[in-house]
Amino acid sequence: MNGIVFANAGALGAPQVIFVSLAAVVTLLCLRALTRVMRLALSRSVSQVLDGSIVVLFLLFIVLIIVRFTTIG
Amino acid sequence: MTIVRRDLNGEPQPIRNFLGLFLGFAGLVLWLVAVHNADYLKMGAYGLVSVLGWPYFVGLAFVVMGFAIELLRTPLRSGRLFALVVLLAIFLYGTASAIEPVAQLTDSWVHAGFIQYIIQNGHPLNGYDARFSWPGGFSLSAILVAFTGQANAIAFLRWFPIFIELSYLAPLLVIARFSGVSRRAGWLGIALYYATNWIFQDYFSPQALNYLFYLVVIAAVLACWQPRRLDRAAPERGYWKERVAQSRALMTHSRLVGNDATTTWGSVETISVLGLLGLIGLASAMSHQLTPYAMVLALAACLLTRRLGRPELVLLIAALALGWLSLGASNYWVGHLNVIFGSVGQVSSTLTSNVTSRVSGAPTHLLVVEIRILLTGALFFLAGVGFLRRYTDSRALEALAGAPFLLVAAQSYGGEGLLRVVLFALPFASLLAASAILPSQSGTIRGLLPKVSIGRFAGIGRMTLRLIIIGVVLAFALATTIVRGGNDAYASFSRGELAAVNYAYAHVHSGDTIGLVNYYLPIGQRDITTVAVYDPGSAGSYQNIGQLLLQAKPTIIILSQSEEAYGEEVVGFPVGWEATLETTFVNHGYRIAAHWNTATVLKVSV
Repeated sequence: MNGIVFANAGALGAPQVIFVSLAAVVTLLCLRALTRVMRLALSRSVSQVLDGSIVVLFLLFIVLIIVRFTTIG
Repeated sequence: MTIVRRDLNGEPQPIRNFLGLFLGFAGLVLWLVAVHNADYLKMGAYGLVSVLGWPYFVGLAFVVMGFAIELLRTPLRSGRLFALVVLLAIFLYGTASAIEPVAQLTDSWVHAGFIQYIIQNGHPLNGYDARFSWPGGFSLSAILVAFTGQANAIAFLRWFPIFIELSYLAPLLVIARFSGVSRRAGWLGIALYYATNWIFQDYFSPQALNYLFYLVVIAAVLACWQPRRLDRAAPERGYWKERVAQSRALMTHSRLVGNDATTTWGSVETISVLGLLGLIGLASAMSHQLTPYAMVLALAACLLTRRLGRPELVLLIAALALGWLSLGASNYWVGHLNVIFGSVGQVSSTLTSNVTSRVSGAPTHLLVVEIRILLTGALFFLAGVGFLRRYTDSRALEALAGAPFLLVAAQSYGGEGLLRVVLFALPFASLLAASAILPSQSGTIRGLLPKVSIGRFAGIGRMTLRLIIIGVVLAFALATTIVRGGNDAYASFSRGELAAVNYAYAHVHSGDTIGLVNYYLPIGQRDITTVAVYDPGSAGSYQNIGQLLLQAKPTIIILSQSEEAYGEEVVGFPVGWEATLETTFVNHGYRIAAHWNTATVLKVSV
C-alpha cells in the first residue's frame, strides 16, 4: 500500500489491499480464539485492544469490499 | 402357539425380537427384485415411479415398518436402526442410479467437463462459466480422478447421489445425538430427513460436497458446545414473562462473545476442531456460492442459542466467504454486479421466481410440483408442532431451521434459492418434526402444549405411536419417491442418447457447434473450449427453437427422447413436436447421420 491508495479512492479496492485486510482479520480472529481456548491470561486492556482491532479491521474489510464492488463492478 | 428361540444364555427370545431386521432384509430383497424388473425404456411422464412395480412399494413399507418396530424397542439397538436407515436411503436415493442406464442431469455431465479441463490444463477456465469462479470442488474432483487413475470423472457420476447421501449420515447422527432431542426422536429425525429430501442437490456437484461441509461444521459445533445453565437472581413469574426474559438474553454481551456456551473438551481438542472448521470454511468459500453464507447464518444461530462458544468462527467464515467473492470470484461479478445484489430485499419477486414460476407445465408435471410443495409444507407444519411440544435447554434446532430463510431476502439464486434454503433447514426441521411425535419431556425451556399422558393405556399408546410413525415416514417416503424421480422423464438419459452425444463429439472439429433443442442431454463432458454446445433456451414455441437453431447453423443437431419429454412435460409443446422439427431441419440442409431408438443425430450437408 503506497501513496496511490490515498491518491485514488478506487485503489482502495485493489486485490492487495483487500487481501492484506483479510489476512489481518483472520490472524487476529485466530489469535483471539487461541488465547480464549488456551485460557491465556490477558490483561483487560490487551483484551479490549484485541477485540477493538478485530471490529475495526472487519469493518474496514467490509468497506474495502464495497469500494471494490462499486469501482469495478 | 408362540414360536421362540433360545439365546446363548438359554433365555427364551421370541422371534419377534428380530422382526425389524427381518422386515429390513425382506425389503432389500424386494428392492433388488424391483430394480431387476424395472424397464427404463418404459418410463412415462411421471418419471421413475412409472417403472417401479409393487415390490418396490411393499419393500419400502417393510423397511419403514421394521424401522418403527426397532425405534420403539427397549433397549434401543443403534446398529439395527443404522442398518434400516441405510436401507431407507438406498430405496430413495439408490433406485434411480440402479435402474437408469447412465447418470442423470445435464449439470453433472457439464461438471465432468469442467473437471476434464482442469485435468488437462492444471487450472480452471476463467470467464467461461460462473461455476468456475468457485473451482474448489472441481479441483478436488480432478485430484480424485487423477488419483484413482481414471481418464475423466464420468465413472463417478452415476452412483454419486447414494454415496453422498450416505456420507451425510455421519454428521446427521452427530447432530441428532447432540441437538437436545431424545435418542429415539434423533433416529426418527434422520429417517424423516431421508424420507423428505426430494430436493435433487445430491448429484455430482460442488453443492453436494458443500452440503457435507455444512453438516460437518454444525455437527462439530453442536458436539463441542452445550448451553450453560443461566442462573438469574430471580426468575420471572409466569410462563410468558419468563420467555420474554430469556429472549431478551439473546442479545446480551455475554451471549454474543460466546460465554453462555460451555464445553467439556480440552483446549487442544477445541483448538484442533476450530482449526479444522476454519479450513472447511475456507474450502467451502472457494467451492460454492451459497453454502458459506448458510454456514455463517447457522453458526450465528448456534451462537445466539448458546451452542457455540467461539464467535470468532462466525466472523472467520464470513470473512473468508466475502474475501473469495471479492477476490477469487471477481470474474463472475465484474460488469454485472446486479446478478449478486439485484435481488437483495426483493422477497416477493424471489418467492415468485422460486415457487410460482415453477408451477406450470403439463398436468403430470403440475401434480409432481404440487406434491413437492405439499410435502415440504407438511414437514414444516410437523416441525412447528414439534416446536410447540418439546421441552429443551436451547432453541438451537428452531434457530437452525429458521436461519437459512434469511438467504431468501438476499438472493433469488437463479430461481433456486428457496429450494436451497429448504435443504439447509431440512435436517433441523426433520428433528423438530420428530419431536412432534416423540417430544423431549425435560429441559429448562418448557413446551407450549401440555404433555400427553397415556397412563394405563401404555400398551395401546405404544401401538398407536408405532402406527403414527409408520404412517408419517411411509407417506413422506412414498411422496419423495414420486417427486424426486418426477423429472426423470427428461432429466435421466438412455444409452442411445449418450451414444448420440459421443457420436457428435467424434464427428465435430475444433470450432464446431453442437445444437440442441433444449438442455436435456448428457452433454458437456469434454472439449468445453473447442466445441460449443448451443441450445436456444426458452424461445416460446418449438417453431422458434427451430428457427434459432437454423440461424445458428450448428454442425450437428441432436434430437432425443429426453429433450422431447421436457418440451411436452414442462413447456407444453404438442406430442410429436420433435418429429416436426426433424422434418424442418431435413428440409433446410441437414441429413440424418445416425439414429438410435431414443436419439437422432442430424448433420449439416456439405
